[in-house]
Amino acid sequence: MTHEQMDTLLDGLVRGELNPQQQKEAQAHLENCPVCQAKFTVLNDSVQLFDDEELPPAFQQNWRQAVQAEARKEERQGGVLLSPRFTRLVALAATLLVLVGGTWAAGNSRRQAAQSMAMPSQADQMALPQAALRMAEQPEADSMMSMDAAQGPAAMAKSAPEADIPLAAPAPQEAQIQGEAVQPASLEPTKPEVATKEQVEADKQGAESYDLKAQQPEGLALVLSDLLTFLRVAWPYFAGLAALALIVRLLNKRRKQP
Amino acid sequence: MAQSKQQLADRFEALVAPLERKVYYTCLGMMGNPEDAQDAAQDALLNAFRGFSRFREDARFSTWLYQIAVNACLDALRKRKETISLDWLREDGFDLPDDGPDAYLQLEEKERKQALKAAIAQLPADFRAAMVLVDLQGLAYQEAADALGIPIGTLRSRVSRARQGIMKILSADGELFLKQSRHNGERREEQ
Repeated sequence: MTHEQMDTLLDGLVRGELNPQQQKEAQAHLENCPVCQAKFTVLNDSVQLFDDEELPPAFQQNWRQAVQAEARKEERQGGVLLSPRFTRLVALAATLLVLVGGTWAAGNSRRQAAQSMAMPSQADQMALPQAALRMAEQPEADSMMSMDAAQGPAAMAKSAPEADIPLAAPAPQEAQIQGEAVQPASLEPTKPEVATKEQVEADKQGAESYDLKAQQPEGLALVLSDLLTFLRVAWPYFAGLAALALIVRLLNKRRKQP
Repeated sequence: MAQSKQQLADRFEALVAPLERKVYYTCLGMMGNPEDAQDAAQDALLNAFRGFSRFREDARFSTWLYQIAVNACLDALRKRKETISLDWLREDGFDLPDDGPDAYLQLEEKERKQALKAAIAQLPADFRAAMVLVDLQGLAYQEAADALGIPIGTLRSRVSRARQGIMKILSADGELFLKQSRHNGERREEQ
């Protein structure tokens, strides 16, 4: 048996973990090898190094006293209010409160915004029936005239057969004859009261989006949708808080790590 | 169910009581003298109690306690600014002399143990910790590796080198031990 082979058996020999055959071979080698015998003796002495040492009574007493004192100190300092369970409960309640409040506020503001966008303005509301009325009254062929009227009295004058005759503003009766496109009281060319096709389309779209209220989610879907809206706005704050909490936790753990 | 600190302290004491001897001797092996060992062991147990509420039940309590004890000793040694430079121990190529520490073998058991303690105290702290846990406390390699937070291969290497270092120290001081032994023997004969 070589020194290296004996080295692998030394631990087992000292700890009494070898089988009888291994033990016999190891003992035989030790009798003829002073180097391995020295190693074995050192290991054997190491295992029994403190067998003669007595455990100091002061140590047995002191660590118990220190632990009891520490327990009393922690109980005095911490109490119920600073216990980890209580702080966790408070943190959970605060998070829930923020989520519920934020969701409600986000939903509320979203609905208000949707309403203000979908609802036509007062002016639009007044114009809508008039435009619809005119569309109903005027035949399709008159639309060109309406377009001209929308471009102002000057354009109307050009399109007329007597285009070479300058006409600053037609008389009220004349305008009415030409298709009742221009209101007599208003001669302002940039704000015609006549509804164009585009305006009517826009009005229709507005009315459709106003009807979207009926398609909005309800119940749980509504709450989830509001929550999503809130989180979309507030996630950087939550992420920041979570990062801060993580850092504090790590520092705390590091401080308390024995 | 939440436990009060007092209940926690009582439970901790009950768990530590069978292990207090091992904690103390681990610290004694690391620190080299009873006074420092007591201080380190007490610090270790106090630290262990502070972290006891976070102790995971699935971990082995004794391993966890050894880990804390070794860390307390390493901290104390750092504060003591103990700088043992044994670069030769970290270098490859150390071979035990063929004659070995014959002088060591000729000493009486008590003297051998004194010599061994002195030799262990000369090891670098991380090698000493490995040897204390495996050879002095008789921990399995895996448990000792867990306690030290190192891979088992690293632990095996440290234990092996620590043993080589001990043999070399004892061989180098062999003549001294031999003379002391002879002197003691002569004194015994005179009496």
